[in-house]
Amino acid sequence: MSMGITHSVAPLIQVRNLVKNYHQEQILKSIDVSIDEGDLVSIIGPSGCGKSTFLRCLNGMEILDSGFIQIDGITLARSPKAKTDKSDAQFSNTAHALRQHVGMVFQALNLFPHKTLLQNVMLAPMVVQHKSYDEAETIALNFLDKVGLKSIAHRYPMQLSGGQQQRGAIARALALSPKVMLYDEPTSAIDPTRVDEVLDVMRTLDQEGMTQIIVTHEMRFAKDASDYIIYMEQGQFIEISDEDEIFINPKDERTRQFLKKFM
Amino acid sequence: MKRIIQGIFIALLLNLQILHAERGVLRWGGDAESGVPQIFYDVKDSSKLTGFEYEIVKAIADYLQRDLEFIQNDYEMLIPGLQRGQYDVVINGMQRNSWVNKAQKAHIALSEPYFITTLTATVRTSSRFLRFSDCAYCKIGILKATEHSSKAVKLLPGAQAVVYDDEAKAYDDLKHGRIDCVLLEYPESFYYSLIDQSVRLLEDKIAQCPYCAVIRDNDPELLKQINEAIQVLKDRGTLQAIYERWGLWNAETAAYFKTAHASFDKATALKSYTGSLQSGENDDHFYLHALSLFAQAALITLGISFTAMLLALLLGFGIAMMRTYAATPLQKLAAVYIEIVRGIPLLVQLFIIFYGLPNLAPYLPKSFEPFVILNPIIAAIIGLAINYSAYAAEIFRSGFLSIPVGQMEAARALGMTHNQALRYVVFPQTIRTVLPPITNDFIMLMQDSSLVSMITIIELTRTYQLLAASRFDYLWLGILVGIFYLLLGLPFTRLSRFFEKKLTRRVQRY
Ligand SMILES: Nc1ncnc2c1ncn2[C@@H]1O[C@H](COP(=O)(O)OP(=O)(O)OP(=O)(O)O)[C@@H](O)[C@H]1O
Ligand SMILES: [Mg+2]
Repeated sequence: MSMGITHSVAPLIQVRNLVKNYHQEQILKSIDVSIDEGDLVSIIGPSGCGKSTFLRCLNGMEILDSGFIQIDGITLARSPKAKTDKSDAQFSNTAHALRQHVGMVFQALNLFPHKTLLQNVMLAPMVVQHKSYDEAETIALNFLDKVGLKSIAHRYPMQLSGGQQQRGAIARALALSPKVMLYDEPTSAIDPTRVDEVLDVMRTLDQEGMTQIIVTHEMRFAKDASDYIIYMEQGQFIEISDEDEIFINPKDERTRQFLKKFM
Repeated sequence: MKRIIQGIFIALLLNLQILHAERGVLRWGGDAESGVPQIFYDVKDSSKLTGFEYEIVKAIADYLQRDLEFIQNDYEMLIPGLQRGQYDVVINGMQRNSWVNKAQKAHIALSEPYFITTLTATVRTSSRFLRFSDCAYCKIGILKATEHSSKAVKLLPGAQAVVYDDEAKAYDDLKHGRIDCVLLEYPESFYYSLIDQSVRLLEDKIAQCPYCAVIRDNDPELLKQINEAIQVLKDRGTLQAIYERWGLWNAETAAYFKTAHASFDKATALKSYTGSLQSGENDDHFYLHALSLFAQAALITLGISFTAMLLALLLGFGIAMMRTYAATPLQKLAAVYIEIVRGIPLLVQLFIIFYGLPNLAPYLPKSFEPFVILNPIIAAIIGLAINYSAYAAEIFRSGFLSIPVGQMEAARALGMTHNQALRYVVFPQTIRTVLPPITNDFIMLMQDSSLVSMITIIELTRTYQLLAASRFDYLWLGILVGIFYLLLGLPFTRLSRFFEKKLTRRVQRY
């Protein structure tokens, strides 16, 4: 059970005692959190506090040092003693399985430049899920439609604006039908006038019941759209709270200091 | 395209030289580039060999009732080529005196001399030198690997030897005053002095040089046959007639043959050579033939280069994968491979493969022989492919590294395995970056392929050298061969630029 939030059914995501080190330095210091299906959670915090690292742990891109992550019934766990090559291999197998249930969108614009938007979205369903070309195309067009890019599906990434590229990246992740979507500062590499079109896609997905975790510096979006907000500092979750509460009346002094810069 | 490749392969196959002698063939090694008047391509018809030694070998083969097969090799590599069994006899101005002490160690046997000539000095016509001793304290041009001439220079007080690869360059330097004298054997000096009035010979005979045939020492039967042939041709007067026709009959050989010294009037072959050079009447014929020889040689160059490049790319791609993505020990191994292959000159690698590997044959089971005694074309392709695989590996590697890590991460986050991510995301993007340097490499390889002439293959550059040597025309034939190289490379540069443009139109780097 995490601080403050109560769960009626078993949560979709559970994290216990998550520890991640880089070169002896503890980047994530025993994180605990549970997230329900359909929630939209924002993570805010100063640069270097470990937000990206946390997201990367959630989809198995980083090998944990210890702790336990369970998403949609798949468990990634590591105890500090069991650090062998064999357990590493086992870990990456599970992580690989997990990734098909967890979609991720990065800060950098990284659509595959040698493929059209449509081909970008079709690739993983065909390669990873062995869908036929026609099946993959139907799926891809469907999701491109959802993010409003169906009419320009045959363009190459270089012919798209930053906002269109990020919406394309969301469609590409959605094409695998993930249970959870993770976003690492999806709007900070794009033109400010294009930010809303990306955030709107997330709002729509939220209404459709997608579970989403967003690392963001867009405080207005965090405040308006999130079910709740996590404030992170120095590898710890300092405060998890209902959106209005954290902005109006932060419990922790460190949260107050951080938010002062944005108000 | 498929047809063209097939054509190239067929052309290659036709050119493969037979490794083991069939009965009835005398496989004879010589260097037609070392030139007039020993062995050279006929000035009237560049598809035919001629020269006084050519006529001698033909007479020997006729006497032995064997067909003659000529195998071209670089002069310095004639003996190594003999040792590895590329041919059975070398007859090409081999000095009995300089080989006699080394014969046992080199596992070769020497025949009785078939000709005796002398060293002769050539000077500028305008100079005042009258005899060789006047050249003391001068710079004297000699050819590499000629012990007798370097000895003669050492005996002259204050004289300094300047060593040349071929006569043409030595004579050039003589005319331009960089050196004062060229010391060569009489036949070469004599023939050059005939066609170039700006140089003249000095009268004195500096040292005697007996020419002999060279055979492997495990082939006593052939040695016996060749000695017998020389004896008979000598007695019948065949040899004397040849020397007379080429204007080379001299007192030394006469004394050795124990016959009378004859007149210059019979020098018909010599007159026909100088005559056709001066009249220019056969020029069209010669250049037309040269063109067809160049075309054939271009096919060899292209075939070898293209096959070698394909192999180099495959090998290089594998090495680059290992170097970039494999476990650390394998990465180190790949790095060491690249260092070693790049660190050793191509020529050395070719020599090791062609002349070196056969030395292992005695220590290996008989069935391994075809793998160490390689056919020249195969050896050339392997040598070039190995050498260029290291460069290709580095190109591929920098191609892989030029793809932003975000691409790999995005692919992995989509549930692709590492290999899938490489195959569908990283490699296709690499093509555009590696295309220009790889085309570049191919052009370089094609030019480097001229080195395979050192392992008995007659490709473009060697064809040029051979033809140029017989008429001392390095300029026009040089331009012609240059055009051939340009034409060979052009389609590839064009094709690469076309694809590069096509790919660039849609790809942007982040
Ligand atoms: N691969 C790595 N090797 C070593 N240290 C790393 C590595 N990746 C991240 N770190 C360190 O871990 C800490 C947390 O990094 P992380 O990227 O998670 O921060 P962040 O909260 O996402 O910051 P930002 O808001 O700038 O993106 C930083 O101090 C960073 O230097
Ligand atoms: Mg970050």
